[in-house]
Amino acid sequence: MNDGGWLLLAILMSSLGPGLAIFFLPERRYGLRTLLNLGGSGTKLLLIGWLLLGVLRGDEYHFSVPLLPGIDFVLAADALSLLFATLSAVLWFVTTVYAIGYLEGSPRRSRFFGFFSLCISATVGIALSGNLITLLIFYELLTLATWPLVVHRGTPAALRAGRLYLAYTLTSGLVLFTAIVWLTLLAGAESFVPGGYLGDLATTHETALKVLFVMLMIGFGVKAALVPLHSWLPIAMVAPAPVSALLHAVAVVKAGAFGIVRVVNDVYGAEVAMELGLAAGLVVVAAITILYGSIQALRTDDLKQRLAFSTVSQVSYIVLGVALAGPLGVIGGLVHLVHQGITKITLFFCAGNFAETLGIHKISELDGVGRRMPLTMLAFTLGALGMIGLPPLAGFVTKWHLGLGALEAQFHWVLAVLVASGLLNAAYFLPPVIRGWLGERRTPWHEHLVEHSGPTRFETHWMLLFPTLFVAALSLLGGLLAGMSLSPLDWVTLIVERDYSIPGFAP
Amino acid sequence: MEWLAQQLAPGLIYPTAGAILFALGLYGLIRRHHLVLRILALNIMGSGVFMVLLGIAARGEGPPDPVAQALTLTGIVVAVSATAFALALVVRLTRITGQAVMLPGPPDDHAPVDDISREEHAPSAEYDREHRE
Amino acid sequence: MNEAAPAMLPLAISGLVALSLALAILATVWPRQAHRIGGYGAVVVTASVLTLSALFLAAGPEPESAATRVALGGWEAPLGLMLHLDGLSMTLLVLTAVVGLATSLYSLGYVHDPIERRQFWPLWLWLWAGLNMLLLSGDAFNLYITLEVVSLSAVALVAFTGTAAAVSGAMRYLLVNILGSLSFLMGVVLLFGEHGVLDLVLLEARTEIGPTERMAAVLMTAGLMVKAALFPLHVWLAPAHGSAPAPVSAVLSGLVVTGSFYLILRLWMGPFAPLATPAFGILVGLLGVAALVWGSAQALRAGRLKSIVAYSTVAQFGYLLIAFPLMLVDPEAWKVVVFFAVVHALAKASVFLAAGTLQHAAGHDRVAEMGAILRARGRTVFALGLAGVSLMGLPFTGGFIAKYLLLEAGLGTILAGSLIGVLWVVAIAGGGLLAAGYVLRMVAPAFHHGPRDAGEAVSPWMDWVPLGLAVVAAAAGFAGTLTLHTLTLTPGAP
Repeated sequence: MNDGGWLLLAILMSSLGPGLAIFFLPERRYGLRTLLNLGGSGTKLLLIGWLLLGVLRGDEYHFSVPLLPGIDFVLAADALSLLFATLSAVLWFVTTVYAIGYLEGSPRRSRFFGFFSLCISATVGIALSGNLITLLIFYELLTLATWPLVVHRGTPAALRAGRLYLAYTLTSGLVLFTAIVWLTLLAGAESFVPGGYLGDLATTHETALKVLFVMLMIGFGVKAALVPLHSWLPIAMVAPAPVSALLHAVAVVKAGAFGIVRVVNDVYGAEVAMELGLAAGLVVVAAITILYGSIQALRTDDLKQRLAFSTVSQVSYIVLGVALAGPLGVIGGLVHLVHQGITKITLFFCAGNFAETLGIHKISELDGVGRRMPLTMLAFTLGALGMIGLPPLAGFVTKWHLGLGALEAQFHWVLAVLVASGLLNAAYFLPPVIRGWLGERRTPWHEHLVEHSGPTRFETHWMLLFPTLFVAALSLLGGLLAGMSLSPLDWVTLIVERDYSIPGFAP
Repeated sequence: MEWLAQQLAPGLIYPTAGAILFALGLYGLIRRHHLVLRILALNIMGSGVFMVLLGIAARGEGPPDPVAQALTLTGIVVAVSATAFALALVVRLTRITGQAVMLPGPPDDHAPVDDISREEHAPSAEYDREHRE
Repeated sequence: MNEAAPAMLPLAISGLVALSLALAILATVWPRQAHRIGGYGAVVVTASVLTLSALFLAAGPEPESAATRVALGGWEAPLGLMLHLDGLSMTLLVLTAVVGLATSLYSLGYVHDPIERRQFWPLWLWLWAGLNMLLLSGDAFNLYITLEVVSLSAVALVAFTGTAAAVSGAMRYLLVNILGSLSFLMGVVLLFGEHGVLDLVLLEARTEIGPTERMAAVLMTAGLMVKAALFPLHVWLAPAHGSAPAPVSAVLSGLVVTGSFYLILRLWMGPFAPLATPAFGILVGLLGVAALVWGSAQALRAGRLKSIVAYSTVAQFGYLLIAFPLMLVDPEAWKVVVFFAVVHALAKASVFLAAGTLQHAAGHDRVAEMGAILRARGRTVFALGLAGVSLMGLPFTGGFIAKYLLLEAGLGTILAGSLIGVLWVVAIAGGGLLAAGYVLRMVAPAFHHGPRDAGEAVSPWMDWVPLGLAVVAAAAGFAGTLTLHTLTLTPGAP
């Protein structure tokens, strides 16, 4: 314990503070709001960079306040939290720029950015939580902070989606709440430990632990959109594009997946999870979700819907990797946390650009868009190929490790699932790409953006284009430079080395 | 004869009578709708309580317990003030609605809302002004 | 710990009672200045309560000897009246001071008619003084007197607007209250007849289970349940709380019902403790579940903002009943109940104040027609939402910590082998969803697409106080350790 705890607090406050300030800002203070937004996200990036170096050196960061006798509110930074925190901070910065461009001139931006900042604070809080109670606090806070974003447009459809979202997340939150209180009664309010802290109870409270595991998976599974708890996700697509991007790539689904990782790795521990047969059950659920999501994605013509179902499918790779419970599988799962994040946010930004610039919402309207918006289409292509898992893009690194992990854990049938899912991915991602580049547009484009805010210098507003290109480049580099130090793969390997105590372990 | 005298001793007869009054008052409170009758019923219940108290004070040998008598006096003062207040409310209610009975249930959703924080409200303030002048 | 603190405590206790009574009397005899007396007085009373709590904690006594007892006029019990301060009453005194201060500041903006000011402030100060005395009384008969002071001033405040609905609601409230008081008094009389003392501590020492005690327990509990609007004796609550002026509703829902509940708790932890049996506990718990479901259902279909909030009080008080069987399994759980009551009071008061601001702006409180006002008044909606989150029991609020403790106690009964514990846990967890439903009904229209209209101008007090109180309700999430510690300083309690 050193004064590093204040760094963790500062990281939280760097978005919470500006967020709360933005709430009370009059609508017209555009400049100040932008300054607060970008200042907050920039500060957070710097602070997280500092923390990253510290953790790499092996420093300990810890902050705790007592909440109740025997129960503390704990913030801590280990390599795993840094993985998620860094992803969130980078993508938040990019999304903030994108959102400023996207919402230019639209009403109630103070409210939007206020909740946007709350949302990212909650996400980073989840990353930095040191025990289950703290994780729960931020997890529920995330639910509350995202609801206003989902219903932001205020249309009946948005409000319906918001109600459904709350019904799913609040109910699962209560299941999670009950499970965590129960677990705390049994095992105390322990901090997360690699390898878990339930080893002693595995023999004495076997049934209780099994029930608890199911409850915890229901709690986190709703946000991670595990089948059959996923139905809220495609419907929540009514939200503005930056929100969808953030929900899918970082905040909500990732929070669920991250919670599952924490439970399997740092609460139960891979060994206990295997012994009780829980990991195998999770592998099956994840495999079903992967296939189901892909099949549903094939059936829809709406671009955002297709991306949503693709998320359902892709997030389960993370769950699958962790449930395989071996070093290689975990590497595959964790690295996908990052890869899916940057790839999916690229795709959502592209979808947002198409919708905002040309009013395109459906795949069948994409014909020839590659000629009108070549850069966006290029980014979309990179994202799509990455999702399919084509070497040398990011998705390939994931699938490679997942396959190895499946072999290592003796789940041979998982290989078949991976291959099938790769084919399905190609089947639903290639058509929009082919239409975009090779299709032909007969009627003139409906220049949505130009009509509203005048001509643009690039193919679309620069604040929409640059973030898109930036994340597309990231998703390319994530795969190309996977062997470099401090690449996501390298960092994940570090996590697995530390967690599984395999010094110098290299896949 | 001796038995009867024993039973009629203040230590037992007053508490019993008090309990009966309490029960009668409760019955009246529930069954009657006219507010004045309801207030009377509450007063009968109160008398029942005081009777029990005094009976208890007179129980046993020697002079009655002064504490109980003091309590009764205090209780009566409270009861009188509460009754006066209740009657004042009845008068006000009767003046507004024309009847000395309560409105059924909570105010319905379209009843006008009177908000004393707004300028235009004010039946009660006007009423008081009129009556003061 | 601190040498001077124990010596100063008795003085501070009598001082607080004298101060709150003096303010009430002063405002009554000098009505033209009543709002000033009340405004400044509220700050002074709050400061003295906080000082008192600092003294109390600094005295740092052992739990067994923590109660400070002051004999008024030097007359010791059983003849004289005793003031009694322990961890439980200290906690609720602080709650009363915080809600009281917020209500007073809010009322500075809310009650602006010069004549109404003269009527409002004396009544409100009497109510507050009554509550303070109620919490500090250690004597059963004196409790009856303070209950009457509280009820009569509360009824007068309910009738304040003078509309048919308000006067009728007040009338119902008055009848119910007198009935409750008389029932309570009858119980007191029975206990006095049996044991010859009125002091609660002495009573507790002398109680053995007999028919008289049972009768007294039934009468006193039923009387207080009527006053605390505990299911199924709650029917008077919605008309009274729904039609009272906003600051009054806040105090009624936040403090007055809590005060009655405090007495029930005190009695069942003290003189009546031996009477509680598991079967009785389960019965009370089932009433609680019914209250939770019925109250929430009414809140989900009520058409008016203040009715929603009033029914939510019925629902939330269901938790207090559900906690009863939990206390039989784990006697320590009584602290959880008190903590829950405290955070509920803070949140509920701030919801009522926020509702008052919205009603003032709109000129009505029909939820269906409030959209435009809600959209334009972000600050108030934020307060409503924040306090609502506390009612739902979600983080970062006091409600979350209270819900955590309740769930812990509920799961504890399951682990102790009680099958019906499953019902308690489901009710405690599920109640949060129902609360989310009715909170959303109040807040969601702010997010609909549509016109905005700020309505009537609102004084800064009415604009900011609900938000401030909501922040306090949320910050109570960090007061869990302190509150539980204070509560352990209650002698005689488990």
